[in-house]
Amino acid sequence: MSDGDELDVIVVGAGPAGLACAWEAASNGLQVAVLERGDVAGAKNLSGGRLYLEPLRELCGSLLDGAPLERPVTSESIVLTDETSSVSFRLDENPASGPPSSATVLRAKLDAFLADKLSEKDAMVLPQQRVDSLVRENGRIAGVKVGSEELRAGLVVAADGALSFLAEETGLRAKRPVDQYAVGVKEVIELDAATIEQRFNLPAGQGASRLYMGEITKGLPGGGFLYTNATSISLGLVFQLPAVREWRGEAHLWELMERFKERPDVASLIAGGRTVEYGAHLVPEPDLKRLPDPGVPGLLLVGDAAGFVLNTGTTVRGMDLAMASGVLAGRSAVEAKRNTLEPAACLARYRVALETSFVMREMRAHKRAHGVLSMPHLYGHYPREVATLAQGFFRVGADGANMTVRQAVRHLRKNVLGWRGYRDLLRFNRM
Amino acid sequence: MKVEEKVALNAIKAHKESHIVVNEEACRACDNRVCLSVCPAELYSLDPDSGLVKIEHAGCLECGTCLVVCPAGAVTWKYPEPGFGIRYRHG
Repeated sequence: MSDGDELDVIVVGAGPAGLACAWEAASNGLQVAVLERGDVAGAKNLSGGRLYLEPLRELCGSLLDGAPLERPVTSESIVLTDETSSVSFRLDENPASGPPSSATVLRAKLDAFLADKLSEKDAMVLPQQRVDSLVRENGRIAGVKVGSEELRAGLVVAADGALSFLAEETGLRAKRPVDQYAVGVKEVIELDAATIEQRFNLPAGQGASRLYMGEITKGLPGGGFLYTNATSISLGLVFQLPAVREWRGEAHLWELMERFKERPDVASLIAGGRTVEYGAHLVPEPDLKRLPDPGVPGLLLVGDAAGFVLNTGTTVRGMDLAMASGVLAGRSAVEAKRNTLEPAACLARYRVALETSFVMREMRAHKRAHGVLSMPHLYGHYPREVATLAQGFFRVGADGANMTVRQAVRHLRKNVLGWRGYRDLLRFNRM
Repeated sequence: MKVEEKVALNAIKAHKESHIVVNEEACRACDNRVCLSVCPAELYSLDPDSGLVKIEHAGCLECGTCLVVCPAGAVTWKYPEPGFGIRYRHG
């Protein structure tokens, strides 16, 4: 694939996708460099904060051994909110004796750890290298430009995140497709370990995840999240951008975050905590039909750059898909080098590897989730009706009355199971 | 907490030149101005004299939302110069 002292692989972006790719390629003897625009790996990176580890166990080998995981998640909640109450569905698992199946993470630590691991394999991250454009030659991508310098490689891997200017430059993705993005804002709130465990009713060292829907986003498609770290809480809101664009709300996005924190059922969880960082990041919300081809000859897209993010309503996945696609891109690079494959053949291998892995299998299995989760009723009407029903069952009024099942069914028929509800139910069914 | 206080918690080394530029002509024709409310750091403001949108790049969280969401395509946005911009210490 390469000749002379040209690099085998240039990876653009030191996030989980790029670093997993570099690890795989370097572990198999390829010459790899990772170019990172930040001062260190992770400096520009932000995520909600949960990594699903199970699917990576085999793919990533020892890459994640000793990784700085905050807390294994053993307590899961979905919380539906209206103006005055919230209804939770909570699953608590007994802490397993084996390795955790998912864990909360903070990216500054995780990405720095993964970057450090590369040195074991004689690969490294070059910080403060902003890739400005691609180098084209004979109908393929042959390298990248950093300022006035040209760096060449047998393969370029675009791990440059949700915005991926490289994917845009190749024409793989249309410029700025607003309907393919959400924005997330997040605060990291420091709180001591004992307080976290007490407030979330967690066994020592275990972690909680809470996904919020409803009033907190003022009816906009999106939601809230809360993840417990070792000694902090990651709390944030996510909004789908098309709805935000049309929203004529009186508040700024950051003010909705403040209101979220002020809700009594959230305020009690973070009370006494100290916010130490406030960040924002785009989240790809790809529609499978418009997912870009994962590369052009000489360039492969991985992770967020390829649009590999899945929100099913109960799980939000990005980092596991990122690392898996990174490893698969690394493997394709290794095969291409061993068998002196043409760049187009390397891309074809990568495409097949993705299709036969859980990455594309899961993207396809949940292909309707994006459309269903754009239904406005999910964020206002339905959570409110669920709260009303729950209140009816649990309350006894001044007249001494408590809601009967018969009344509940009548209420449901009238307010939820109308023609619109029926239509939404059909869409849910197909999801 | 006010947004300035939130942004001030971050480690940001702002370059003297802005990495975000708003095209005046395109901006003038826009009646949406979603940039004013969507920017998580509230860096966009309306200049009452000119009626145009101003950007203060120094507190930028580098999310890129303004670039994607601007319906007028008026935002030119590139990554800050190496060594500058936000450095997430937690992420």
